Amino acid sequence: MNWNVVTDNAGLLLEAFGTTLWIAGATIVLSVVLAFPLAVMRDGPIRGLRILSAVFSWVMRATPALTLLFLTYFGLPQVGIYLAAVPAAIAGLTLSATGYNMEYIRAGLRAVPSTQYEAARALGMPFPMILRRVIVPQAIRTIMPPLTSNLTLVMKGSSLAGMVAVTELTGAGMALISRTYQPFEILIVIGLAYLILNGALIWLQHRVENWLSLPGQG
Amino acid sequence: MSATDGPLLEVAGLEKTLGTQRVLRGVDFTVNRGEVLAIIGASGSGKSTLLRCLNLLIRPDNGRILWQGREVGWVQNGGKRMPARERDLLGYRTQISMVFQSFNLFPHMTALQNVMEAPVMVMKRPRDEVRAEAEALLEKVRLSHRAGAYPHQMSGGEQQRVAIARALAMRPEALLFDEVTSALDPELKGEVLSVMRDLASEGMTMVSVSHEMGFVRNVADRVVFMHKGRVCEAGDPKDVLANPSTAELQAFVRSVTD
Ligand SMILES: Nc1ncnc2c1ncn2[C@@H]1O[C@H](COP(=O)(O)OP(=O)(O)O)[C@@H](O)[C@H]1O
Ligand SMILES: [Mg+2]
Repeated sequence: MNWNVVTDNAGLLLEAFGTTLWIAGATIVLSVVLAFPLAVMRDGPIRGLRILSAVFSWVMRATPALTLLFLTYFGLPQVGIYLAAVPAAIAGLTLSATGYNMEYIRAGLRAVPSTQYEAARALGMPFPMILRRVIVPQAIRTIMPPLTSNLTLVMKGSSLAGMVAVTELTGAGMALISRTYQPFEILIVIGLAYLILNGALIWLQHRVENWLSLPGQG
Repeated sequence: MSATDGPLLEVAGLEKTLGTQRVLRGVDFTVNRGEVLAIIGASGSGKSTLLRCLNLLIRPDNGRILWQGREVGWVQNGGKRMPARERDLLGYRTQISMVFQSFNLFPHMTALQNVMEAPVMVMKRPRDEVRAEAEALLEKVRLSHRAGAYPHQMSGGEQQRVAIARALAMRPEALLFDEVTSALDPELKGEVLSVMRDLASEGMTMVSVSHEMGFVRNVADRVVFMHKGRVCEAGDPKDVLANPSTAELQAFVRSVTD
């Protein structure tokens, strides 16, 4: 093995690492932030919003992430919306991730017993307060594990951005390999990079779970 | 305090259908200020549904609920009678607090936080003032030493007493109790019943669905016997329970005293 290929191209790899971090990070944050209201709407009291979010979830999960990515990068310009490659990638990946996130969040919200809503309503709490103070704090424990697991998929899925001219980790690696014919070294480094990124994500999950856990309970 | 000298709560012709079942078929009764009204009746006779209608957790299909002489749950809108919006019911609900059979404490909050939640968040009262009052309420239900405990760390009897303190923290005019001792082991019922007895002797207005015949006989001022969604018999518990005039109540009394 010859690690020169890595050290010689350290700048390129680092930059690609930064791009992956940026795309995956933005996608994760946006998709979680968007998924919450959609999950609430999905089982909410307003019929129109229920249908809207159901259709959104269905379309986003039924369509390949790559198709959504192509749509935001190649499709949107056709209707006059021009996004640079990175924002287009973030938009496409976010659409896809949001569809999944909202289902995990929804499942967690539904797992809170309806008696909790009832008790909160009996105390005169309005619906948004019930969500914020009573339902979400309980649901979050159920939501965290499957949601984080989906977010590690999102992290890895950011490699799709390489298909729309973004130089992220996987794409940069492929380009390097075809130039240098040293796949082993390059793939090991890229693998380690994803390991670090997703390791951080899982560490964050444990931090949140610890923070949420009650004394004397698991 | 009230503008009228009439009953605190008056219910007339209350009807409610759930699914295909007519659960309430015209319920009438009144509750005076400071009175303890017990509601008894076989399982499925509509007692819980009735209580839920009283604080409008569910909306009756028909009939009227008068609170201090004024109708709640409906508004006049251009001469038309319209159901009130949820947010217009919130203020009413804080005046008529409910305690549930299964406690329904918020599991992610300590006993003290459970009690403080509504006064701070709903009534926007200052946290320090609420804390002092919540501590006093926990003392009243004899749980000062459990203020920092989470629901899963408490016995059922303790949880139910916290739930009573939580309901009292709203400074309600009346309390609704839905079989609050039914989920408790026999040795834990007493501590909850004694708190309820204290409240009654302090003049708290209470409507209590209960199968504790001792409580009904000795604490309640009046008893209402529900049967198939109607008030079948009502009156002074000592008379009504000793000399039931209907076959339904006779059968019920026999079933609970066995
Ligand atoms: N959400 C519901 N949908 C349909 N039927 C219901 C619902 N809730 C209660 N019921 C029915 O209404 C009847 C009365 O219930 P409930 O008020 O809980 O009686 P009780 O408290 O006296 O036991 C029961 O037969 C029950 O099955
Ligand atoms: Mg019941």
